[in-house]
Amino acid sequence: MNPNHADDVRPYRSFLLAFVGTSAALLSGMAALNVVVDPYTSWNSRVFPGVWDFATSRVGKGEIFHAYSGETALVGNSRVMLGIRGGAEGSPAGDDAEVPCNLGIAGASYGELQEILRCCLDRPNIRRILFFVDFQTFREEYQFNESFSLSRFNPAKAPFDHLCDLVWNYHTSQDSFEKLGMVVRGIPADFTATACPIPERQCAKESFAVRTEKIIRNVTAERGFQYSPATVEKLRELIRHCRQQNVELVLAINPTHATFLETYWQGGTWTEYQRWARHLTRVVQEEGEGAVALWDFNGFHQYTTESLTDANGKAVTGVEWFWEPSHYTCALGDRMLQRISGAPGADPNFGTRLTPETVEGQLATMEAGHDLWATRHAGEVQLVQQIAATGRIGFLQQATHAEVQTAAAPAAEETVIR
Amino acid sequence: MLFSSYVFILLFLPITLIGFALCSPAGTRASMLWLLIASAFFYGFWNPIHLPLFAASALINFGLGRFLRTSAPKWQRNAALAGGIAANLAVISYYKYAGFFAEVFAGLTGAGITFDKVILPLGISFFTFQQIGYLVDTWRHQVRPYTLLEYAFFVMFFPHLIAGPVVQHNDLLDQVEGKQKLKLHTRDLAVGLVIFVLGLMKKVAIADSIQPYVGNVFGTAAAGHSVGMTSAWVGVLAYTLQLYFDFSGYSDMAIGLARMFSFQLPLNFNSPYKATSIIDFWRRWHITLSVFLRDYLYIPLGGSRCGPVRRYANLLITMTLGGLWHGAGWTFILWGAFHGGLLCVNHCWNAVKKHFGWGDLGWAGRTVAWGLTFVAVVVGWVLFRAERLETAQSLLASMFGFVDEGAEPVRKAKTILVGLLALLGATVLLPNTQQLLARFEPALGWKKLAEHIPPAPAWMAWYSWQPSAARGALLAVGFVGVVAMLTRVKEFLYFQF
Repeated sequence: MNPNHADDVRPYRSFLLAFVGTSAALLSGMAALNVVVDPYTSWNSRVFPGVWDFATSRVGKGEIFHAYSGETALVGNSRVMLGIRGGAEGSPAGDDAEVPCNLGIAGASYGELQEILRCCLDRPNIRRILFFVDFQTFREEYQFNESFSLSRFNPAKAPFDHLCDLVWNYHTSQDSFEKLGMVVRGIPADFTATACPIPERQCAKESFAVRTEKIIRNVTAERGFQYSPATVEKLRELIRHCRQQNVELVLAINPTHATFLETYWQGGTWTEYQRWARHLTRVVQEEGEGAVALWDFNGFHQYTTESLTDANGKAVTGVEWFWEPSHYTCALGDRMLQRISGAPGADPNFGTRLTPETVEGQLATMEAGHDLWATRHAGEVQLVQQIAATGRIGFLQQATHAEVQTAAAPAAEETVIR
Repeated sequence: MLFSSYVFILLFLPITLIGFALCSPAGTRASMLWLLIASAFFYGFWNPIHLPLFAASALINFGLGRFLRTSAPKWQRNAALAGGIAANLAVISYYKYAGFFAEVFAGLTGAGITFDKVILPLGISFFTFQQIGYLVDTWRHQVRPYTLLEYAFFVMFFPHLIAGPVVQHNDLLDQVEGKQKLKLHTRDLAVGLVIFVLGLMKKVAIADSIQPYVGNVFGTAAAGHSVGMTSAWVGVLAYTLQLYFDFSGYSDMAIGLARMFSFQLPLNFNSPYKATSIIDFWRRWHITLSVFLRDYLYIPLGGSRCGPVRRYANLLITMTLGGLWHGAGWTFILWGAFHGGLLCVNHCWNAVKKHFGWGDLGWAGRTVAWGLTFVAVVVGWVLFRAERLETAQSLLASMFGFVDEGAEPVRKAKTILVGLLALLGATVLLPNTQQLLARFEPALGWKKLAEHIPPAPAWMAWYSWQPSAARGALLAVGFVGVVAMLTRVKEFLYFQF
């Protein structure tokens, strides 16, 4: 034991001092960088303005939620993130309407959404949850994106680990450097906690038709997609917990543009969509017993059927209610919230409250709406058909199980956000 | 608590080292007590529910040990030993194997037996073996009398507590015998730190980086899809390297941590992928387990003393049970039996060589031997990693071209394959951590081991570690690099065994 004890001890001491000194210096430097630049607005350092890209990441959303003192949480995927106004302030002074906390995250897996909902139920200040759902979300997908694991939503993460991640993790440092780079390059710091995020940066460069094609090729449900009934059944537990804790729960089906809906017909998933809608309605009715609302904003109506071309047949750069076919704008998000809350001036023709009595009528209306829209927008139907003919509706269609697990979230995120 | 976690590196380890230094003037007992308290905290931090079980197990084995040292009639001592071994095996069987055995029984008889899964106490496979070893050695009168504190310290010392190395009582307790004080030594602290940080790098920077390829390929095969040949090799090679860097990284961390407190643990890995035969492989892979199985199973079964047939049967039994030790499942049993079979073939081949007087087959022969050994080991890892036999079968078919067309779940599979082969090349050609630190006796019994481990070649003299400020700063850069990656750390693979 203890070999070489006869050696001169000084080089060992120098080694240890250099190790400790260098480590301390590097760790302090990283901590200073990440606290000052504060990419996720965790430290409220305000030396640099918030940048949307980082503040709305999974880690950023976790920090927003941590700071939130209000009562309403908005849960969902990037449609909620881009389309519903919400922030972290709680009830701003002088404003009667409480600002809800927007917890929409890009490419959210079902497992991630479950964890976010669990976090909401763990917080006593949250009295109302608006859960915005989509047909495609209901798949057996329980893995976490790596940045989700870094966030406060990760159930296995201890507070001390989170604190260390915020100051030393390489993702945090990478985002700090990127944020610094964006500030230096003069890219507008467009994140404010209460204002709607501004995805124009991504949308300004191409026409709506081009964005439509990209979205349909990349983020729609795969051909022959079948939802997982088990994931719908899991909602029963959520509803029960909400009722036990007197938390108001509202579910809402996100609207998508008609071209996006057309993929259900071209990809052969319309029947499955109907099955899902009926199942969802049944579960909400059975567990909610009328106390839980399920709204359906999807369908072929004035908000979702804006044309991709103007009166002269020229491609438009944007439409009023959608950033691109799968993500609605905050203007439409406002109307959804108005309708849900029954605010004066809400459009009574937008959104249907699904119950066992109304669901068949809503599905029939959608089907009839589709037929009518298809006859009037032959060019848009043709666009979806062309993509379908190349066998490329949905990037997941030929993917293996493992590809789905690893690729789904990042791919969706890249296409929509970046 | 994981070695590769913020709380361990930034809080637990510094506090334990400081406490150890402060206890030093109070004598050996105070230092051991401090380490025992720290180890109990380390064990209970994750899931304290199993701490009483662990403590009870240690107390009962200690009590049995005391009885076995007495001059009681032989039959009583034999009964106590048998009872002790049976009790230890019963505990591990309940937690680890009951579900599997119930499933097998139900499958054979059609009985509707179900067994709810229970949480496996961390390190149970390791501390069970260590305590069985202690009982057997005590029964053989090969153990000096230990105090309860010494015994508890041997079982619970945190560096080896959860995933080995499988430490024998005398390995550790001989190092405290007759000592008035245990204290921190600058040299041991420096050497231990180097070994720990290198192990941490192996685990965090290498093993965890290649883990996604493993998950993709084995996940695809487990889902019933055929995998293309390139992806299959990527997944299997990635697992081959992940397992090595993960477990040897853990072992290095354990050895390094113990060394910081001036204790030496036995070597557990010695570049196993450099092996040129399966016998050689098992002298290099999980060495402490191999030694345990040899001393407490293979030799008591008769070893090689009862003729070649018994020898091969003993080898098969030992390796099959070794496979079962790793996990409750047919794939583990098959993996053990497969290696048992390979060892028999290897011993046969050695007998043939001896019979015909064939000596060293030269570099070409050694290269062929290395290739055959490596491929056999890789095939074994497919069984080891696959959760079901069908998955293993499917992947093996893909690897050896029996599948016409399969999915390629790994993007840029060919590029990844080249990268993995380069990593394998480095693993095979470069000296290992122990060779790097050879002059500092990096593991227990190093001098004896070093006779079989060649020093690093002269042209790689730069590679040998020397204490200096520059190397301290360089190591710190690597250390901070891995600290920045700690969150993505997956559990150590051997925690599950």
